[in-house]
Amino acid sequence: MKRTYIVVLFFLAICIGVVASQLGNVSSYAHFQDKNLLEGKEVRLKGTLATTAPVIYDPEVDPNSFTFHLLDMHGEERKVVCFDEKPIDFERSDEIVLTGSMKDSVFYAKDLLVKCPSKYVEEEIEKKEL
Amino acid sequence: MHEHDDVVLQAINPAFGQLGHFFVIIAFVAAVVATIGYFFAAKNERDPAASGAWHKLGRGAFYTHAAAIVGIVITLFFMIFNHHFEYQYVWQHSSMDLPVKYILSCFWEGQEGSFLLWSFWIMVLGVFLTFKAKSWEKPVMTFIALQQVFLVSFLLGVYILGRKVGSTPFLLLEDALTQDPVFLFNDYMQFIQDGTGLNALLQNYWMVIHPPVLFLGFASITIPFTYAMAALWTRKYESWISPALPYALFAAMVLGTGILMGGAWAYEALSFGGFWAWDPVENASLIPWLVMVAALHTMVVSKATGHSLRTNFVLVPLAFFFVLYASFLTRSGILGDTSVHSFVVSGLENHLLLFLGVFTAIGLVLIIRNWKSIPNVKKEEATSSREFWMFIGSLVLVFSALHVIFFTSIPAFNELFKGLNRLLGTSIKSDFTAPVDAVGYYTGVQIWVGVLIAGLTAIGQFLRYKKSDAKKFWSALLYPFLLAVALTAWSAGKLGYPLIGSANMMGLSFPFLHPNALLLLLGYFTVFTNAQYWILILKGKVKLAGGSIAHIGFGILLLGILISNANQMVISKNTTGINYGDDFDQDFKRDNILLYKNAPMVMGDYLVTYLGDSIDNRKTFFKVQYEKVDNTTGEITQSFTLYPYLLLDKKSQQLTPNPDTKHYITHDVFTHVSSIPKKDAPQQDERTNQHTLAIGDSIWLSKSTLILNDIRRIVSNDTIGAMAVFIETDGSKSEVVQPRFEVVGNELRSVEVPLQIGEGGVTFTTILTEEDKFVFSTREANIESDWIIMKAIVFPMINLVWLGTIILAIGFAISMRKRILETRRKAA
Repeated sequence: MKRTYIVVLFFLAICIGVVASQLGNVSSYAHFQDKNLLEGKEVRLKGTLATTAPVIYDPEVDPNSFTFHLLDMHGEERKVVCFDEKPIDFERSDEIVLTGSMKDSVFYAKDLLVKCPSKYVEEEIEKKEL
Repeated sequence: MHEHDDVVLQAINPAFGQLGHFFVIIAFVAAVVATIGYFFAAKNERDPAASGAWHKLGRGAFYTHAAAIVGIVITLFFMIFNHHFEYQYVWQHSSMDLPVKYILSCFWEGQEGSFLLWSFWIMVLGVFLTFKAKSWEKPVMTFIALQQVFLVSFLLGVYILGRKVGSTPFLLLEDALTQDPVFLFNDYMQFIQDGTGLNALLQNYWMVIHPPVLFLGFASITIPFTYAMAALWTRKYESWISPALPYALFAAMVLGTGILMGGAWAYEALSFGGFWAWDPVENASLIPWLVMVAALHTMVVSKATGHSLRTNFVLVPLAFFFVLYASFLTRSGILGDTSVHSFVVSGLENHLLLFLGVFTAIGLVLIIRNWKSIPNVKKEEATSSREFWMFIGSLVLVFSALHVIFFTSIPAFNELFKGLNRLLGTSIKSDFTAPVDAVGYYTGVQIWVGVLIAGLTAIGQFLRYKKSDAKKFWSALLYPFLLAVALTAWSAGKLGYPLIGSANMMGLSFPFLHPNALLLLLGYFTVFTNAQYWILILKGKVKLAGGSIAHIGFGILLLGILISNANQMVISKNTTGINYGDDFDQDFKRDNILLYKNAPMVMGDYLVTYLGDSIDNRKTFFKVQYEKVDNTTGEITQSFTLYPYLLLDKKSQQLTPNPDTKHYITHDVFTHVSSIPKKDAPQQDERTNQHTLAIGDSIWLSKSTLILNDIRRIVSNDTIGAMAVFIETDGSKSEVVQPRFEVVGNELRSVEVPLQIGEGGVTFTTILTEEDKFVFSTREANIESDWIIMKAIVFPMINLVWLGTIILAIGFAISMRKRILETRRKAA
C-alpha cells in the first residue's frame, strides 16, 4: 500500500477517535427528573419561565446572581439560581436553556441561553390610531 | 375616523415593486439562457461555428443577467433610501430614524438581501471571467451561470406548480400581511408611517463592511470549484491549476479577512467579550476557509511537482460544498436554538437542500467518472520532501474543519433523525444538544491542530521539493528555534503560563509541555523561521515572499489569539454579594460589579467612576471614567472615558447592550453595561457600607471623599481608644471629620459622627491590630439611586490578532500577484 494512503487512513482513524471520544459529551436536553441530574452531574436543561413565582434580581445586593422558577419540558417546576447577571428583558423570554447542576432540589445554573424573542415577535403593524 | 392633517400621506407605489420583480425575472431567465448557451458552446468546442453561436448567446445572456442584477440592487436601494414602507422588506428592515450609513446593513439583514449580495458578487466575478478566462470561459461560465440560476431563484417569490419558490424583496406589505385589518382601509399607508427598524446589533460599522467581504469570499470559492468541474468535464486535468490558483488565493485572502472582521464585530458589538466564541455561524464561515487553505497548498504542490492532483479534485469541491452547507445551516433556521445570530425558520429548507443536492451530485458524478483518468504520479513523495509535508498539513486542516463541522451540525442531525423517524416509523433519539462546555470543548481539540499547523508552517519552506538535505535543513532551523525557546521562556513567565501541563486526549491524561506554552513556542518559531527564509533565502525580495509573509502573519495571529484569549482579565470582579457555598465557587464568576453614580471604585489598575447617563434618540449612553493613579505620588497618570450604551430595539422594544472599548497598543479595556435600575424605582436612597483602611487610604462617597489622614491614640483616666482624623473633601473645600473608637470603663463606645459635606455619617467600628488597619462604616442619606451593573475586561495584545490577519492577507495578495504573472508569462 502506498504511504499516502496509510497517512490518510491514520488521519481518518485519529479523526474518528477524537470525535468518538467527544461524542460522550453530547447529550439530550435534560429534565428535572433526569438520572444524571439526580446524580449531581452537570447537564443542559431546556424549559420556560414559570409565571407562578417572580424573577428576583437585586443587583444592589448581588449583581451576579438571580433567581426564578423554571418549567422543564415535562412541565415540572423548580427553583433556579443563575450565576450571572439577569439579561435585560429576561421576563419576556420564551425559551431558556440552562447549564448547571442540582443541589437540594434547587438548580444552580452557571450558564444561560435565552432564546431571543425579538426574532419571533409576531409581525404586527403598530397602529397609530384607528 | 379622525382627520389626519398632521400626517404626511404616503402614496403606495406599486411601480417600484413591479420594476424590481421584472429585473428578478429577467435575471433568472437570462441565467438559464446563459447556462444553456455556455453549456452547448463548451460541448460543441470541436465545431467552431456552432460553438461560436452558442458562446455568443451565453455571453449575451450573462451580460443581460448582470445588468438585471444591478437593476435589482439599485431598485431595492432606492426603495430603502426613500423609505417606501409600503414594501415589506423596507418596512421590516429599516426605519425613518436610521442613520444613512446603516442603510447598506438593511440590505443584508434579511434573507433576500443576503442572497442578492451573494449573487451580486458571483455576477461580478462572472463578468470578470468573460474577459479573462480565455479558453476556460465556456465550461467555467456554464457552472457559474447555473449557480446564478439557483441564487436568483431564491428571490423569485412566484408560485410554480402550487409551490412558492423563493421570496421576493419586492412584496407589498398588504400582500405579505393580508390578515391585518389595517388593509381594509384604502389609504392604509397613513397608519404605517415608519418601518420596524434595523436590529440593534446590526447598527455597527463592522456590520456595514463585514458581510460584503464575507460574501465576496464565499463567492470567490466558486471560481476554483468551477475550474475544477470544467477540468473534469473537458478532461484537462492539469492545466486548470495555474489559472485557478490566483482565485483560490484571492478567496482565502478575502474570506479570511471577512471572518476576522466578523470577529471584530462580535468583539465590538456583542457582549460575550471576545472575538471568537465557536458560535455555529462563525464556525460555518471558518470551515470553507480551512478547506480552501488546505486546497490551495495541494494546488501549489500539483503545480510544482504533479503530485496531489487527485487531492485537489477532492478538496476544492469540498471547500465549495462547505460554502453551500454552511448557507444551509445558517439560513434554514435549523441552528435557531444554538446560535445568537442565525436566521429564523424560513421555509427555504427544501429549496436550499435542492441547491446543495444538485451541486453535490454534479460534483460527485464528475469526480467519480473521471477519477481513474486523473493522472497520478506513480513514484511516491519522499518523506523529506516539501510536497509530502504540505500534504500532511492540508490533511490536518481538513481534519480541523471536519471536527468543527461535525459538532456544529448536531441540530441538523436532530432534524435528519426526526425526518427518518417520521418516514420509517423508527424512534432514533433526536434531541441531542451541543456539548455542555462548547468553548473548552472545541478549543481543547483545535489547540492541537494549531500546534501541528504551526509546526508545519514553521519548517515547511525549508524543505525542498523532491528531496531535502537533512543537514542544511536542521542547521537552518537551529537559531530561530533557540530564539523562540528563549522568548517563550521569557513571555511564559511574564504571562504566568505553566510550562508543564497535562494533555488530555481520548480520555487519557499525561503530563506534557503545556499546550499553551507549546503553541506560544511554535508561534514564535513560525515567525522567526519564515522571516529568516524571507531575508536570507529570498534575499528580502517582497514579490517572491508571499508564502513567507502569509506564514509570518499566521504566526502573529496565533500569538495574538493565545495571549489575548488566555490572558484576558476581568477587572470588575465582585467579592461581595450572596454566598451560595463553596460547591459553586468555580461556577460563580462574579464578573459584574455595581457602580453607583459618582462613587469611584478600584478595578485592576484603574479607579472607575460612573458619571451619569445621557439619551440620544433610542440610545442611552453611560459615561464611565477610568483613571490610573500613581500609588506613590497620588497623581493621575492616565485618564479616559468610555461610553457603553443600551439601545432600545424598535421592533421588539428590548434594550440591547453595546459595549465600548478603549484601545491601546498593548491592551484593550472593554466595558459593558448589563443592567440599570428600573426607572420607576424610588429616586432617594440611604446606603451603608463597610470599609477597611490603612492610614492614607480613601473612602469614595457619592458627594465627597474621605481621606484617612491620621489615627490618634486616646489615653486618659478611664478611657482608652483611638480617634481617626479624616479629611472630607469634594474638590473645592475640605473639612475634618473625627470619629472615635474608645473603651470607657467597661463600655465600648463608637458613635456615628456626621459628615460635613455629604449627608450621613461615619462610624469607627473596630481596630485590626495585627494588620494595622481600621474598620469604618459609612452611611449616606438622600442620595440618588442611580447605578449601572458593568463588566470590565482587559484584553492584552489583542492588536496582534488584527495585525496577524492583515499580514496574512498581504501575504495572500503577494502570492496571488506572483501566480498571475506566472500564468501570463506561460501564456505569452
